[in-house]
Amino acid sequence: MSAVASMMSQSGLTRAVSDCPAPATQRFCAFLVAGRVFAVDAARVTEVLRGQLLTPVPKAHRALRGLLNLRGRIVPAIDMRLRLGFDPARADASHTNIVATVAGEYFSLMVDQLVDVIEIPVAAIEQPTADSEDPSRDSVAAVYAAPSGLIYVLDVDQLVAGISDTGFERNMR
Amino acid sequence: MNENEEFVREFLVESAENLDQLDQDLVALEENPRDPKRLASIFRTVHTIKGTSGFFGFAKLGAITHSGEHLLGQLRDGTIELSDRVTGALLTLVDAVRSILETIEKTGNEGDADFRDLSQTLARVAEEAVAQRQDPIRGDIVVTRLNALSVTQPTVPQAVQPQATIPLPAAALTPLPTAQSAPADSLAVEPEPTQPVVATAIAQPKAPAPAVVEASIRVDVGLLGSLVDLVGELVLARNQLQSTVNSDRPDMLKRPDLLKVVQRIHAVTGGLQSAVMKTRMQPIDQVLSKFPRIVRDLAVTCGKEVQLLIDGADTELDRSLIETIRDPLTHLVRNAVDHGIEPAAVRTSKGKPPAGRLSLRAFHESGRVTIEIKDDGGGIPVEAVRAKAIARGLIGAEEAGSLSDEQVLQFIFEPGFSTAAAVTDVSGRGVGMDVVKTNIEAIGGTVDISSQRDVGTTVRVRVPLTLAIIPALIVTCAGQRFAIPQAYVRELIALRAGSSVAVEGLAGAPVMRVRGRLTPLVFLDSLLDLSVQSSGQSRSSGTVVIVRVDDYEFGLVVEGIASSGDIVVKPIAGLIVSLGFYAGATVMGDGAVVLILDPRGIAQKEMIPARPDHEHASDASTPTPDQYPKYLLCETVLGRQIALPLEDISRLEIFSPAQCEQAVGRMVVHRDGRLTALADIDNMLEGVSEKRSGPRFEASAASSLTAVIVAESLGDVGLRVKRIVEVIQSQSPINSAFCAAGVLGTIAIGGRATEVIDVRSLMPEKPNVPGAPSLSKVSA
Repeated sequence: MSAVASMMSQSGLTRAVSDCPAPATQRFCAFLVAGRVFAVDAARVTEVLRGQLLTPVPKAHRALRGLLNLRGRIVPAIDMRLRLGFDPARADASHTNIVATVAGEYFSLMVDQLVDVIEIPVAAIEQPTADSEDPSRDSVAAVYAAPSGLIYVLDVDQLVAGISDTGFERNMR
Repeated sequence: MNENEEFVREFLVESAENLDQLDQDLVALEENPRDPKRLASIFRTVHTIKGTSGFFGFAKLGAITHSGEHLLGQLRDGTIELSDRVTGALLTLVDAVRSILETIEKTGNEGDADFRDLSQTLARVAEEAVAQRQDPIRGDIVVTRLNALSVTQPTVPQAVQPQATIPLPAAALTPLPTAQSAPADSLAVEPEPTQPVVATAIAQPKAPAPAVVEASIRVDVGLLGSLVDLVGELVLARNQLQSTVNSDRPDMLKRPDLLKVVQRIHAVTGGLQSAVMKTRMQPIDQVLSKFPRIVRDLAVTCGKEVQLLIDGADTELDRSLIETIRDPLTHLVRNAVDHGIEPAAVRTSKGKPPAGRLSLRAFHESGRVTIEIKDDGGGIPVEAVRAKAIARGLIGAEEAGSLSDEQVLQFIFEPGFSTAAAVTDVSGRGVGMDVVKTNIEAIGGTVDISSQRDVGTTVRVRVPLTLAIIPALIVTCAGQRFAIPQAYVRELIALRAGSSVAVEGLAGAPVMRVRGRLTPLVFLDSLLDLSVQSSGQSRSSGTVVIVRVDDYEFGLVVEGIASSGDIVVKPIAGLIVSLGFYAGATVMGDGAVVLILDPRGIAQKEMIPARPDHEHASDASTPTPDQYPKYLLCETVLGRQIALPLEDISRLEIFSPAQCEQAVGRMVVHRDGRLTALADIDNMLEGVSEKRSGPRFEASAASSLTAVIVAESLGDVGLRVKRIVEVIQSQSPINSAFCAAGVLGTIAIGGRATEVIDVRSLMPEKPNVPGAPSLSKVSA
């Protein structure tokens, strides 16, 4: 719980959870996008990077901001602001890349800021309500009411699937 | 249990290699039946499999290898002689062992197949062979030898080769010719990761020569892959380090030691890179070593005698390519034996030696690997191919006559060109040749064929050394870099304002005349929605990259060429590949990612029409069965859709109104120092049909005029149109029911009746008068 409490302190760096995880909790990687707190399953996250050179991919989904070079591996970067339906960040805004695996391929989630790795009691994770103000309902898998506010738990597979085919069509001019 | 599985897997890998070696050994043994080393090697391999299968409790495998071992033992001891029947039985054994091993690999056990017949056959063959031996004159010797066998003492096949020594059991441990197995051992070929330590442990008891074991270890392919990646990263970091240190910063001058270290790192990294790249290379022997067996079996089946020569088996190429060329090469070898080489009787009647010669030669040639499959058979009957091509409508009879034999042979690569019903007299070559060509071209290779009647056929397959590193052209467009594989690039043409290269850049279908052919143009910036200030219409500078892929040829218009060089191809996420524009990505020296364009995908996206290429048949291109007439589809100023026969057109040009002049009520344009009359097609047609006159050029105050310049043989005339729609091919006949003067008739294009213009009839009588030609006939 202490981790959740401190997550808004926003050091911007990954902080390891010191206390041993009880089986009743699950680890999540929490981050900020447009002022809200989102989280993805920490088991899917392989690393966190900052300030990467991006090569744009013309004709791809708007949220696919580009490709980055992760030690020789080509990793697509998804702009989470655009993916979740927020306004784009200012051009000079800094961002953090959270690299996650989806079906054996690496993807980078471009977020405003990394908050922390947090433990969430499994029992406290709720299904998102149908009419909740989910910014992007298609990829929100669960909601957790932390003392400091709502945390939206995102489905990484859905984040990527959403920009594959139908998303591409939608963004065609 | 896990550990056991590990051992079983290791056993499977080892055995698979041993079986390949067995195939080769057995075929070689036929040539030289008394080669003691060969025999010992075969015996030992079968013995090892038998022993190990007993260890793991594979009873069936144990039973058949035991029978085989017995037969081999008699062979080795000279009790029996090698005959076709014995070799056949042993090869059947190898196949049976292989199938059991495959079952074990898939299911973990031996499966239900029954191999008792095989064991009996092996035993019977052994008995019969012994009986045969006893048959001839020296019955007493056989008795002696049998006695010798029973006390397992080495015997000398005295009557036959008194001086030859038969290997003692100890001889099994003497070094063997291992040249072939050594390179295979040094590279990991197994699909599953294995532990090197285990491999060595198992390999030890039957290791051919200790030196080989020490010189090579098994390495997981995935590990090699990550090594290549890491070295790539190191090279990039090295480059960045160098640019940092070498910059003319004053503080660097004070650190000569640092510069020295950087230099050292530079050299070491370079060496490391080339060494790691070599680990991906494997000798082509991996493929070629299968052929002695395949050729032998085929020759027996076809009742032919074939002598196989293999040269250059140590030629190396990327392991991923080795797999790709396996099937095409097998197909070509099959063709050569099955259809190329004649039966012995036919050969003798032709004055050739009864045994056909098939040679496989692999060698490096200008950065590529060439594999030559050459037979001295009957050759391909070119005339039959020519006739067949005409019969199938691939080419007109007139045109066919003008093609060289080499060009005619290209038809063999047509899909389904030589089906059984079609060309029964012809050798039958061609079945699947299109697949061979497609597979080889898919990896950037080429297939050439040449054939001479009664002398033989030679097929040359050329493939790149590696797929991981390809030469590419780096182009720029709207500030972004893209890579185009050089294999697709035919030529580069600079676009300059006022140059003689004319582009029809209207929105419909931009085309360009390249070497007398209309080539569709694709503007990369518009294709990829890259931000540009102007549309393609007023493009006056840039570079056209003429790209050819399969039967598509088009010009890709880019801003400029940044560089060209070798790039390392990296895979990209499926969702980017599915866009259809990109084949992969690469990392440049500065660490930036650059997308590799996919010309095939772009051609499909842009619906570039496939184009037959008879004029350039030697360019390894495939003619397609579209000999239908082609038309340039245009929209006239008044919105009429017309079709102009393509052969009547020389080029398309755009003029600015400033280039045009009114002369005697007609429009003329200065072009290449002479005046070309510009005629409005609407006017011409209406002039003919309705006698309505008056030039209509002013009707649209366009910033530029598009003109179709007719073929020079017809006259110096340009036909003004509003826009070019596209170049189409139509098989529908011209309906001349609505024929009018100046109109050949109508054809249906996209469901719309389109007038086909009779350009010839619209031309003035005397076309070659310089200056402004008279257009009286059409516009008076």
